[in-house]
Amino acid sequence: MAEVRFEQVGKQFGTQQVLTGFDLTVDDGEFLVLLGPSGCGKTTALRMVAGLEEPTTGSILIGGKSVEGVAPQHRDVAMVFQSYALYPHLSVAKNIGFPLLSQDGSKDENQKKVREAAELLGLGELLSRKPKELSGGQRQRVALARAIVRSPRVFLMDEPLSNLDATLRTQTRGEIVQLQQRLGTTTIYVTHDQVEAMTMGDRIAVMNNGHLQQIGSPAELYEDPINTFVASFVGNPGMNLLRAQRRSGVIYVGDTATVNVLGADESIVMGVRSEDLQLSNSGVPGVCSALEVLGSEVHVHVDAPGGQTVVIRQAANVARPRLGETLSFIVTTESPLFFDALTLERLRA
Amino acid sequence: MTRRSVRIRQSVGAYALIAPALTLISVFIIYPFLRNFKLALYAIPPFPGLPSKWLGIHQFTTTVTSDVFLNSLQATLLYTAMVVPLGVFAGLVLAVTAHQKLRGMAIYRVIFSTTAVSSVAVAATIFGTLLNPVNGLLPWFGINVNPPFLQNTTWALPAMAIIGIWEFMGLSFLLFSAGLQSLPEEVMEAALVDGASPVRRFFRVTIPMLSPTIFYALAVGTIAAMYTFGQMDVLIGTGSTTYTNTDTLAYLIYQSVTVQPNAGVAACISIALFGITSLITFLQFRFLERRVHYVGE
Repeated sequence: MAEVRFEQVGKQFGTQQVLTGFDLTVDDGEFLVLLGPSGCGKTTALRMVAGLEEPTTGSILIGGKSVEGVAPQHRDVAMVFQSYALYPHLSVAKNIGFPLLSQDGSKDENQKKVREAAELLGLGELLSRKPKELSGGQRQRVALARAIVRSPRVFLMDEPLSNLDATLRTQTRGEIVQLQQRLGTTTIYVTHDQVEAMTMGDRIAVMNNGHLQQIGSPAELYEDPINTFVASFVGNPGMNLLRAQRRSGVIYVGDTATVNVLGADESIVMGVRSEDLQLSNSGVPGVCSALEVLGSEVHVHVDAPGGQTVVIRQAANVARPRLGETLSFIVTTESPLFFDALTLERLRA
Repeated sequence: MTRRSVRIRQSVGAYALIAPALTLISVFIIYPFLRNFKLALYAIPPFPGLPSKWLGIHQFTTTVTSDVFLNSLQATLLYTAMVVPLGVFAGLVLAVTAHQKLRGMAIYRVIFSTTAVSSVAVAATIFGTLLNPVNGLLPWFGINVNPPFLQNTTWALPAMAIIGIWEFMGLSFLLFSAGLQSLPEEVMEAALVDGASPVRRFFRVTIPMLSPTIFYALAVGTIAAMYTFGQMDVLIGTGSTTYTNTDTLAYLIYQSVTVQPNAGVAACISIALFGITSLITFLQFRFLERRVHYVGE
C-alpha cells in the first residue's frame, strides 16, 4: 500500500493538451474515484500512474518516490482494464497467476495465491476454463483476481464495470468496495458514471477538460459544488441551473420572485436540486416537456422561462402532470446555491 | 404480385448476379480440373490430331511410383521444409522489428514488404548474379563451391530455397505485421503492468495470440512452396534440374509437357501434386489448428 501523488502533472499528445497542472494526493489505503466526462483526461492520469504514459511535465510519486522513467513492470501496481484484458489463450488459473510469474515465489506458493484470490472472488469452480467460456461478470472477476493476486501497492481501475448490465454492475460495485475495504489497498478508480462514483469512492476528484475541478467526499460534492460543472455533473439528475436576477434582495426567475437573498442587484445562476423544487398552483410558469417514471419517484421535466429546462423530483404517488400541460413550480429550499453568471464559479455569502 | 412470383424474381436476380463469376470459374477452373482427370487416363501424343491411347489407372500408378516422380517429390518436400519454417520465422522477426515505435520504421516496412511484390524472375536474376561463381557476392566473401552453386547437386536446392525464403519472407512479414497490429492493445498493456519481461511477453502473450497468423502463414506458405516453379526455370532450366536435384513436381509437370511431351503423364503428376498438397494441408488443420487461439472468441 502506498500514497499516490500527482505534482503539477501535465500531458500533451501532439498539440493536444489533455491534462494541465494536475495536483492530487491519493492517501494510503484510500478509494479515490476520478470522475468526469469522456475526454477529460481521467484515463490518461490513471495510465500515467501505471507507467503506460509518461507525464509531459510534473511528476508522479508512489509511496513518496518519483516513478519517472520507471517501467510499468517495476511500479508494483495492478490495473483492471475496461475490456478486462484477459489473456484469451490462458485458463482462468493461468490468467490469475500470470503476474506471479515475474516474482520469486515457488510453484506451490503461486498456486496457493491463485486459489486464494479465486476463492475470494468466487471463481474456485472456474479455474480450468478459458475466458471465452465465461460471462462478462465472471471475466470481470478474473481481471480483479489477477489484480489482487500479487498484493500490489496500488490498484488502478479503468471503468471496469462499463461492459456489464445494470443489475450486475450494481452488484459488482458493492463487491469491489468490500474487496478494497478488506484489502486496504490504495485504489484509483476511473469512471464517467456519477452513480458509481457516489456509491464507491471515499473521495471523488471531478475533472473536466484536463483540469481538476473539485475533490471531496460524495456528500461534499453533492451539497457544496464549487462551480456549475460540478453541480450539474454530480447527482442524478444534476443540479438545476436557472438564470436569474437579484433585485432588491429578491431572486427573480423571469418575472417571478422565488427566494429572498440579500446582496447587490446582479445577474446570477441559481442552483437548485430537483428535490428542492415543487409543482405548485403559483410560481415560475412552465410547460411539462417529459416525464420519467422510475418506480418510487417521477422526474418531471419542465420548460421554464428563457428556454431553460428544470427537472422536478416528486414521489410516484403524487398526481403527476400531463405532457404539454402548463404548470408552475416553486423553490422549497431557503438556501439555494448561487453561481457567478460569467465565471460560473460558486458565489459564497 | 404473389409470394411465389416474388420468390422466382428474387432467384432469377440472384442467379444473374453470380452468373459472370460462375462462368469464369467454370471455364478456367472447374472444367480444366475435371478434364485433367480424363487426360490422366490416356497417353497423349505430342502432336495434335494423332489418336490418344487409353491406359487407364495404370498410367497413374506407373507415374507416381517411378524414380523420377519420387526424386521430384523428395526435392519438393525438402524445398518446402526449408522455405516454409525459415520464411515464417524471418517474416516474424522482421514484423516484430518493424512493430517497434522507432523513427523511420515506415521506410523499413516498405523495404521489408517489397519481396512480396517482386516477380520471381527478378528475384531469381538477382540471386543468380549474387551466386555467380565469377563476379557474384559469395566469391567476393571467399565462398566458392565446385561445381558452382547452381550446378551443384548438394547446393542447388538450398540456393533455390534461399530465393523462395526471400520471396515468402515479404508475404510472411505483411501477414505478421497485420497480425501484430490487430492484437488487442489492452492485453499487451496488461502483460506489461503484470510485470512480465519483454521476453516473457513475447513468448507467453504475443506468440500465442499470433497463432492464427502463424497457422495461416504456414498453410499458405506450404501450398505456395509445393507449387514452386519460377526460380528453377530461370536459373537451372530444362534438363539440368534432374541432376541438380531441383526437379520439383511443378517443374516436372512442365517438363512432361515440353521435353518428353505426354500431357497424360503431366496430368497424373498434377493430380498427385494436388492430392499431396491437400493431404499436407489437411494434416496441418488436423494437428496444428487445435493449438491456435483465436482472440475474438
